[in-house]
Amino acid sequence: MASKNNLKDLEAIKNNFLMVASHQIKTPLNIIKLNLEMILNGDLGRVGKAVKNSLAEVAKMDTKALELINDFLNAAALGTRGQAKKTPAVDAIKIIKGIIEEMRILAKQYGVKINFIIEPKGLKAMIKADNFEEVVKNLLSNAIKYNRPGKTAEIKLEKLPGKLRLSVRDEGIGIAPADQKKLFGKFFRADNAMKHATDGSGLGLYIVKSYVDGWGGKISVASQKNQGTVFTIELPQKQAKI
Amino acid sequence: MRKKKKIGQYILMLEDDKNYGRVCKLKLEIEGYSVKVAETVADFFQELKFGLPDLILLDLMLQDQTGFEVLERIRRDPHLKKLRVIVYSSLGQAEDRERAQKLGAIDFLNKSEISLHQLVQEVKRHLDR
Repeated sequence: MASKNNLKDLEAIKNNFLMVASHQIKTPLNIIKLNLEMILNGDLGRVGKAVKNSLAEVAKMDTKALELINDFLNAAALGTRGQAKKTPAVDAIKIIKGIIEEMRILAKQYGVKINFIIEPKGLKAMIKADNFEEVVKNLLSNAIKYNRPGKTAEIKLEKLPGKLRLSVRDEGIGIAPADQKKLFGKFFRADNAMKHATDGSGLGLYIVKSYVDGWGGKISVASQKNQGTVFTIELPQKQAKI
Repeated sequence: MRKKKKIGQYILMLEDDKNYGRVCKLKLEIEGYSVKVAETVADFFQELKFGLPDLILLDLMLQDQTGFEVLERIRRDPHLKKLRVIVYSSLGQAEDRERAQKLGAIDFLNKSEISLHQLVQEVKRHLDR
């Protein structure tokens, strides 16, 4: 039987493999994407309409492959995660600010404004939540992509009695009540989400929920079609120093 | 259509992936920048001896050293320490971003998410300041 240390070593080897594999597969796909971008932009000379249309399809599929690799690797990492891993405390506010900075370009592309609210002001939130960054990135990028131009994606961190609440709100297409129940399952994508943005893997929210469950937290969704959606995560006091 | 190249601001890039360096150089040159790509840390510091760039694009995942070590070396050198450096990586981890910021990087870009158009926008944003 494998000892605790052996399991730890295996976990480290697996994580390292996933990271290297992810990097190695993504690199050529990324270079394909960039070269296609130049061709389609006409940077290298005029391109006929039929060729352009065909290459646009290739570019779309390449982007999809990149996103799928990200999601599959995250989902694979979930399936083999060790138990009771010691997670160091991280500064939630600092991480969120970093993500907002990173998403600035995406938000601009979709014409969406990002708003970050901290309550009470001056709140310090050190949390023990493995993959917190991944969770926030996932929710915020959804709030941008499924939003509408000129609208806001709002991220809010609140201290409540005995817990910390993180909510991410958009003013976008919304989710039908029947779809809300299936939202956190593997490979689920709502019809209106597929029409709005065709490239998702249907794994993002599954991954988010798995991480939040791992923290001993809770995630819920409230939404009205064509009004917007809010995802709320509550983290118990024992996981957060606030 | 290929735009007429003009002599512009000088960007030095440290990138050990030939293909990635080539496509970025091509795009930035079309936009009017003068670009050199060093594929090794030694070549990079050699290039810095020939002339100081207006901007450095620095990959964090290099084969011989990490981009952080390169950035630390830049900051330790009195002739180089004020250079503007944008770092980029295909692993956009918060701790990397924070470390780069502490070392005076003016921006942190995610290599696997950014398009060439966005790269040009970011370069322009910093160089037009």
